[in-house]
Amino acid sequence: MGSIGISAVRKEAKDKVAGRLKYLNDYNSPDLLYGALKTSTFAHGRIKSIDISEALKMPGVRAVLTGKDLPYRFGIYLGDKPPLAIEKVRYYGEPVAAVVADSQREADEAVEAIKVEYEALEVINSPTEALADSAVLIHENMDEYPHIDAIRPEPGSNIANRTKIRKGNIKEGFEKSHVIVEETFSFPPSDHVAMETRAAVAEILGDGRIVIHSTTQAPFVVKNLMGAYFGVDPGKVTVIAHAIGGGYGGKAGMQLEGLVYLLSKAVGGKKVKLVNTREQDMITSPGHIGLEAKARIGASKEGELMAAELLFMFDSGAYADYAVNISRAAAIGCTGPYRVPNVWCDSLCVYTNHPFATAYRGFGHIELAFVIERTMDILADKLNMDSMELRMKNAICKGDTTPTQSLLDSNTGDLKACIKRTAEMIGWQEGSRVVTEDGKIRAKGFGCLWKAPAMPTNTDAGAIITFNEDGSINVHCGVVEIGQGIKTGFAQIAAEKFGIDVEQVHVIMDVNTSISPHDWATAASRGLMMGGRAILSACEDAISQIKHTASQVLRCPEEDLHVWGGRVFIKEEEHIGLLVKDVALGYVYPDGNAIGGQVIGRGKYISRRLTGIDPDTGKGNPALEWTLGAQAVELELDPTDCSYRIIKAACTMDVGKLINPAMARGQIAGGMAMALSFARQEGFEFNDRGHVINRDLRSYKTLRIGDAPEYLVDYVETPQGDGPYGARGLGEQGVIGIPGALANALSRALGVPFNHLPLTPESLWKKRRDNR
Amino acid sequence: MISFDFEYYRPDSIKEATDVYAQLHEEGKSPLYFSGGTEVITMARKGALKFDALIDLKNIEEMNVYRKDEDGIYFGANMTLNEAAEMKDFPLIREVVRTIGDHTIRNRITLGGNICGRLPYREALLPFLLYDAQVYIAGINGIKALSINEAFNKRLVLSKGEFVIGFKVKESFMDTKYLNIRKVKTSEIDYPLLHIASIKDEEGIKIAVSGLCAYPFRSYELDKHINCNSEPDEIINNVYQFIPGTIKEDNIASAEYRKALFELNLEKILEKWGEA
Repeated sequence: MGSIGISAVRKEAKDKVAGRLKYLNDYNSPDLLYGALKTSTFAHGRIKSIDISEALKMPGVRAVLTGKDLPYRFGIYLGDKPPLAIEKVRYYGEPVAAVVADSQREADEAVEAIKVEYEALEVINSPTEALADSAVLIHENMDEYPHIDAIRPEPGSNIANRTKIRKGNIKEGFEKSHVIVEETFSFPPSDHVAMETRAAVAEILGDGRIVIHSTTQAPFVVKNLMGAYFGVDPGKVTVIAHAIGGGYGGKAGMQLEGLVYLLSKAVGGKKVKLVNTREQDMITSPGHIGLEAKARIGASKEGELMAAELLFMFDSGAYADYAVNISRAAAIGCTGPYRVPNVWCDSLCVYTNHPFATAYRGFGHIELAFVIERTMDILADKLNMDSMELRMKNAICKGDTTPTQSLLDSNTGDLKACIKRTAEMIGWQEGSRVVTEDGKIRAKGFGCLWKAPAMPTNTDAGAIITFNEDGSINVHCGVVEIGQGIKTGFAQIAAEKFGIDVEQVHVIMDVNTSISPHDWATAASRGLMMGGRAILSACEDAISQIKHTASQVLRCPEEDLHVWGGRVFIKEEEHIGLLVKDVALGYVYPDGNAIGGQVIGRGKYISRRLTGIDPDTGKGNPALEWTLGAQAVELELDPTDCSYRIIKAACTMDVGKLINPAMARGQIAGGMAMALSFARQEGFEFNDRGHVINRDLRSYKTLRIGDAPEYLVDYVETPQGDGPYGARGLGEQGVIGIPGALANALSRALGVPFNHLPLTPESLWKKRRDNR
Repeated sequence: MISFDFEYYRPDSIKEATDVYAQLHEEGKSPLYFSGGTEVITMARKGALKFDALIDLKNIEEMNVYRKDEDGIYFGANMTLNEAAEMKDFPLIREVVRTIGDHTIRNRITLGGNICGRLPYREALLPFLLYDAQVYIAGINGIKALSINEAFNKRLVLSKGEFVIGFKVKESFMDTKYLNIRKVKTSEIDYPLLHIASIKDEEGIKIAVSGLCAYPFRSYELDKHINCNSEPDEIINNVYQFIPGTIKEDNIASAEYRKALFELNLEKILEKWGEA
């Protein structure tokens, strides 16, 4: 039959292209009330007063809340964030008050009527400023905040986490190095710009049950945190996730759900909806982390990497959210996909007065890769070596160890094969810098990638399979459809196992925490591998139940039966068998007697043999699987004004096994587009008071379809032994090597090192001028 | 959502429009004319624009037409940028308006709105300045026709209650050769750091510029300067005395980069016209 490796059309495709797929804000009901937020106009300020008296008098207003009404602390790893600011605001756009009203218009009008007075506090506008001895503390009471063990805050400073990696002997490593390069890098915080802004609806039923509908990638995390934050019984919380219009990490963890629950509580449990405006989605809700970094890398004469000393200072913004774990993930993968015997890395999550950061596609890896991939090119220049060859020489392989001293096993992908194929696709040998007849410069740049999920050691997935009267299958798994096409991938995995057509496998699109089997979160590119394993296990469970019933009818041992193509039959005598449809809901004998009952396949998977990391050395085994790949960019630059056009973006990834080629290509090309946009033109601009200047899409420009290059995507398939059919995660990875590749191509084009994003033509023009 | 109340009027004739404006004004209200509405919606939503009343000009027939008159081709001010781009008579107009916004928004933005709105770029104006178009302005005392280069000084100078109903361009410009250069920060769909539209006719090279200063401009003195017989270097070195304002510095680009773009592209234009 063959359902793996085919480009099955995604299950929701027709509704999606016809505009019929419903997103959360499309659902309305007559009893719905509407929330709206008053946000801070200061990046750091003491709240002197909040006057809600006018707002309370306005028509349709049911409740007006301020921080003092809500004595809670939110934070997925570190409890540092009040739902509404208490006493002081820490970033521009922070919610300070909330209104619930009968209509959105009335809620918005009431927000306008709230008057807040602030007293300005000193603003911290970068990690460097935050780490200065004289810096004001953004969180004075950090020592009182609860946090998980894996996170190591440093009270009395602005450091929310420090993760250390100490591998080998860094001193000896540099002593053995013939060439050492040292550079600094940076980029500002930015946004995901998911097409759908975040939204949540909450109500509290008469018996105390809480029902939350949310644009969430992590309904089970929300359910769990509702218990942790509010002491409610998790069994009384139901979180429902519909298909969402782009997550990119920005809808993981807890977003608007906690606050909208409190709004509902304030109006007697009535159903309240809270939807971000685009501007709120950009700055009030968390975005992409910023970074300042220093890298020092040493190599032998032959270009063999000897030592890497790395300091990452992540710009977490005002609150820790996922940023503490991003800084940890960046430490765990700090060297990029290269063999480095001696590593020293301190990865810091630093508070500033910027909008706060959450997960973003690549989760620490797109950030570290920019630093490493640029440094590799600088090193290649200094060694007078081809930068692709330098990568080839140091590419990490089976038998090498990671920065956490974890051994790469036989499941390790073939990075060298990826580099080779990408070099072919981009035409590396034809020259990485060419001046065209009309004076333009065509340049190419390379960037490799690796990524492992950053997740708890006990991360799990579950699946349930039921049957219909025609023998078709319903697959139910707790992974959320966020545009990645996971539901269709799951259908393909089940279809392959049963030897039936993908059309014969139906998927349940919504996730409901009271019905769906438990799933950690739709994050970390682990859905296909972990959910896929759970589905395979559910299929096997269902198959054994089918065999059990059929063995009675066919009067043969269960183990002699095979289920395939809609039949259950004796392996050596295929003509002796039954249709699955006649067994899956119970077999009925000709005289009416029935046996067996319905088949319900249960499947589960939990990550294998993972550990935390040692707080002093980083030693441990935190990574489930590493996805490896090589990327390249070709561009054409006009040296007069430094404007440029990206012509090609290439990626070869070792995906283990390709489940759905069209969707894999979509994920990888989409990732490259996102990363090109980030590296070329995105990033918040701040004034000296910490205000975000470009806080709307009029001034914050993302890549348009017309700016898109030709995307070249290919695959290497080194099986992931423990993955479903050998597959491993590929959802986020397409972003990772691209910022480095773009900066490398531009640096090559102009002969000037570009180590700071975004790479706008004006920034190139200025840097070149200053370098002359 | 626009979180304040306002009155809305949709007159069917020019007279009705000016009358309702006058009446609202008399009542002490602050009315605004609009056509496409893109700026009204985006700015009012953010509280950057306040008004007591809106007068929607979309129903005024005279503003919705494109026609060939004896003395030229008339563009109604309500024509959307996409409609204007579909009229093939003046390739420069077509090329210029197609760079404004994206295709979807050009279905709403009108010629009149782009030229008379709040945003400072007003790129649709550039070809009309070069073609010395007539602009038709309606007011309480009827309709007047002015040369656009007289009516325009940093912005189209309109008295209270006046609005633009259309533009007329002489047919003789249909075949005039042109050059159009537009530079952006990164994405094509963005405001211009520099937009130079240029034509060359029997009088010489003419240029109109947006993005460089806080307002678009065309000046006869500037045209005269670039048509002098000096070397391009010299023309560029001495050009700033003919630029009517300071070079803009904002969060999209620095003044020095805009200046560099202007010099590079003015040189390009002089060079290309030189070749032609």
